[in-house]
Amino acid sequence: MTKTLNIELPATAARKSRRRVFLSIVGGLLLWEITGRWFVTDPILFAPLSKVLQTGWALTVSGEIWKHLGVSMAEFLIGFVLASVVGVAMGFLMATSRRAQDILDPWVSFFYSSPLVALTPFFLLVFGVGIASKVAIVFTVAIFPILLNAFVGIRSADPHLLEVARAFNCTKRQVFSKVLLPAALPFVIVGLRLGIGRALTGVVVGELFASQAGVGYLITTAGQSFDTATVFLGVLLFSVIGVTIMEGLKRVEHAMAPWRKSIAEVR
Amino acid sequence: MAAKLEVRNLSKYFLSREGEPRKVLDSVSLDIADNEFVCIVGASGCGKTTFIRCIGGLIPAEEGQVRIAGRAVSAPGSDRGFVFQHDSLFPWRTVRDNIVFGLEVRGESAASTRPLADALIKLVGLSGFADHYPSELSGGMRQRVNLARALAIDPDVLLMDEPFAALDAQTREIMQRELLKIWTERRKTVLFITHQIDEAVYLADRVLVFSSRPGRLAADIRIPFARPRNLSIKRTPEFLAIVDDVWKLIEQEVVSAMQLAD
Ligand SMILES: Nc1ncnc2c1ncn2[C@@H]1O[C@H](COP(=O)(O)OP(=O)(O)O)[C@@H](O)[C@H]1O
Ligand SMILES: [Mg+2]
Repeated sequence: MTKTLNIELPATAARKSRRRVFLSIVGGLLLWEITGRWFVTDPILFAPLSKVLQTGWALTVSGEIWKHLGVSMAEFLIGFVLASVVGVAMGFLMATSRRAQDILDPWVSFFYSSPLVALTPFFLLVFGVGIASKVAIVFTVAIFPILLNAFVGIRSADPHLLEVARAFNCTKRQVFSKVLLPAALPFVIVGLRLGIGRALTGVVVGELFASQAGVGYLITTAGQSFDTATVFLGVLLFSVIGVTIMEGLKRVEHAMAPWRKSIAEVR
Repeated sequence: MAAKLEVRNLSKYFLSREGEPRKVLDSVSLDIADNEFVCIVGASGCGKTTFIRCIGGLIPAEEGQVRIAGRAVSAPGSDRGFVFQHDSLFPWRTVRDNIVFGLEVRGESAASTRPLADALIKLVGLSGFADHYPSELSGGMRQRVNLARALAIDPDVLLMDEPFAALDAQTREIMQRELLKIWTERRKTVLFITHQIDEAVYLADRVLVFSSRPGRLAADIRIPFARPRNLSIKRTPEFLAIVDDVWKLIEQEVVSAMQLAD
């Protein structure tokens, strides 16, 4: 007698999984709409999805939404790019120079675990309520995870591979560019991912605290006039920004580290 | 004829944890002729890797001299090609890019190294895998790439440190046969380290036996078998007799090394 094996083909499993994800998203949005339409009808306490989208459309037509999105994105991008460049450079410096490590390490460890976003009032006092203060906040909160991961990445390069580089007579520069850098790359990307999360928090907190424009400003002013739909819209906009940037980083990772994809496929 | 690789009275010390110098290699001397295939066998921990790293110039020796084709060497150089014991391929490089690593370091362009890379890929039997990453290869295939990478710089001497130690028994035998085939096509002076006596006797023109603590040359045995050698010679009485002789020379040390490890 033969026994039928009950094994699902991977393609079938993947299709089922995709369907569940889709149903979950649609279900969640539906729940939001139903709650706002029939259960919590007070417009101050809640706003259904359709109302939020309506508000979003109105702001798009008037062009206001682009102004706020533009300001928030600018704060994020300037602060994050600066933090990435300076963070990666300092992390690499710390990993390759004993002296730099000894001098910087206590401060990096301290600031990495400090809730630096609490410095927001200070930055507002120093740089004013415009873009500059938000860039400073974003930079400050994002740089430490980026720096630390770049440092760890260089340090975790396989000593066997470093010996191969020596056996093939690599110069110091070649050791760095052909071994240390590619070995550190996955760690750098993890650092950037953590940095993105923190940078977004920095934008939100900075703008909520005091601002003249930006998605956070939109949220604050809407909250003060009891306009819950616009508050929800603002939060939704921040989420969309976050998801978009994370997806972008994934693309960059695939392009820069194709060997990691091949590992995942083999597993 | 002058020796291709000459080692004179090489001694090496490591500092113990207490900071005392401990002699790991004791005045080792050897000569390897051009195109000769020499294997070193010895118990685990007797200093084989240390010895070959000294020859490769990866670590300095406190006493003694190494000469390649008459020139004294003390640092790594392209006159020696290293095949490592560990899985030492760059995971972010494809098979082809791993193979041309040494040439790229010298400043040769990808276009100029391509024909050589393709020839080496064919030589080590990896046709069709040029664009694969190491994570997509089996252990045996990875060591083929490791070998091709060392051959690419066309060294005077090939230094191999237990390259097949991590492979399963069948793959190891196939790799031994393949290595001899490749060596017949690309004649090279080879210093091959192993802790497996039958591997040494099968591959080598001469087997050098290392004794432990400190590492010293205990015997130099000429292997009489004609080439090309078939794997089936491993089952002949003559072969087994030589294996037995070598085993008697290091048995005591293998046993004490095992006891130390316990
Ligand atoms: N970098 C090092 N520092 C101190 N001791 C070492 C070092 N490398 C190897 N040794 C010691 O030297 C001895 C020989 O090691 P090794 O050459 O790796 O032996 P084998 O390759 O024959 O197994 C061992 O006792 C090992 O512990
Ligand atoms: Mg060893």
